[in-house]
Amino acid sequence: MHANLQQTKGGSQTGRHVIFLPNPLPAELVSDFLSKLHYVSESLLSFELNTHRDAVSFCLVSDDPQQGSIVSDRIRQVAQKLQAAFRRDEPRILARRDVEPTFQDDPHPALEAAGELFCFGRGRFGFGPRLSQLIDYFDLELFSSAGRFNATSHKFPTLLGADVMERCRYLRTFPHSLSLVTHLREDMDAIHDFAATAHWDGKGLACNPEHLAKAKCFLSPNVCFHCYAWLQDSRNLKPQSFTAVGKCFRYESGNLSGLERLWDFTMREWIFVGPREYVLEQRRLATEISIELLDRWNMTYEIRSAADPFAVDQTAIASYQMAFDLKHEVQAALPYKQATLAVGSLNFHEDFFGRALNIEIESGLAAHMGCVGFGLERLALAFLAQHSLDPQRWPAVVAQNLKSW
Amino acid sequence: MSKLQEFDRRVRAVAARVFDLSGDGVQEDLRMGNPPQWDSIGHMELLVAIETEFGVRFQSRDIASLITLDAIVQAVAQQDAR
Repeated sequence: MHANLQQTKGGSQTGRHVIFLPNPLPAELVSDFLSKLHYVSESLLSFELNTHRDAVSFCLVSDDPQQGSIVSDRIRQVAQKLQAAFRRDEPRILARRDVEPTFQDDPHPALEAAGELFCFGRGRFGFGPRLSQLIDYFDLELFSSAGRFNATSHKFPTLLGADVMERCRYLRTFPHSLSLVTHLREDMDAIHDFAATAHWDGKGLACNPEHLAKAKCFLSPNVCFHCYAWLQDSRNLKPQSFTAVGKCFRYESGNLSGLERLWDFTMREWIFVGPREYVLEQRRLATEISIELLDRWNMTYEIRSAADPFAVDQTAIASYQMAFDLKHEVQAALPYKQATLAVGSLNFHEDFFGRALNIEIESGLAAHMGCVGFGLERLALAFLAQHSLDPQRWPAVVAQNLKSW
Repeated sequence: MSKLQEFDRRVRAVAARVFDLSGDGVQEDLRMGNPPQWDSIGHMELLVAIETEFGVRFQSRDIASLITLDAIVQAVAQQDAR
């Protein structure tokens, strides 16, 4: 049974509603469907899809029958839109390596018990010295490998302008995962009133929203947009590669789960800008390097074609990504749940950002771009999930670099 | 008007609606990149709108080749002939 009874908010659940979907959901859509239901309504407390994939039962935080009807309609809409956009795509496997699992436990409890993992809130974790060291080790390896692309190292802010996000169409394609940034208006009365009245009400910050300024920035969802924004309106650009590490933010509601899915995570990126052939060749090289690294870490993984989790109304774009082979994902095994986790992605953006941000290469054509991103916390989790917290069971090359474990 | 011409007229009408084109813009040799709105996102918006208009379904393997209006008209005609 595909069940997801995770509570999305506090409070006691009320009457159970059951709705039938117009058509049974294809098995391939189940995980996407369930992940999108978290955004249906704040009043949706829990939900479950039946084994026939044609009915959803759910509970709301209130008994309001009108709310039940609204939520039912929205759940049907999600199912209909996903099914309308769905095309059965067999993922293309680019590389695969299976290592006999020798460890089956979930590393989260042991990390917490060892004082290496601290939860500040849903999707927000702090790391102790050993886990930090492991994350830094992976980052250093990825940073060093960027030398093979002659990549230059850059540092970018965490804040990313809303103008850039709009030009990159992120507001339209991933609105559900945005993290907006605001501040108080430059208004003395507003500032005084905020200071006197703002407080934590147990669920969030209670304050007068009129005191808040219009959002000009977002917490950046990735690293490469800064790079593209830096190159905005460039002409005669030579082929070049960059690398940067940064904090990234994607709000994933009830899907947030431990180190598997963080709201606030760290990503090391390799970024390529230039003619189409250059970018595709760099991505091919990046795939080779990724395989070398994953093999050195003795990981069980698969690199395969994939698509992004677009907003409900934009899910058709996923078919475009698959058809044009734009996104490859590194899926690492998580033996404790007999599942895999995307720890990296290798993306070809065509000339989408070149045109969106008016970036031209020497030929006068819009620049093509590509990026490779590794989620460092996910990489660390997958490594520990496959090899345990005991360095004696790790590949020697990793253990030698982390002697304080 | 032949069936193919009729498909061409309707496909152009859908493209005009999706890409907000009018007049001569619709009569041009439309292809991915021209108009500029026909980018990766526009491509899928167009194909989904065409599927709705004609009640057809394009396979994933076809999506990468349907990058001109003429190719789309031909694909619609082929599906209609089945």
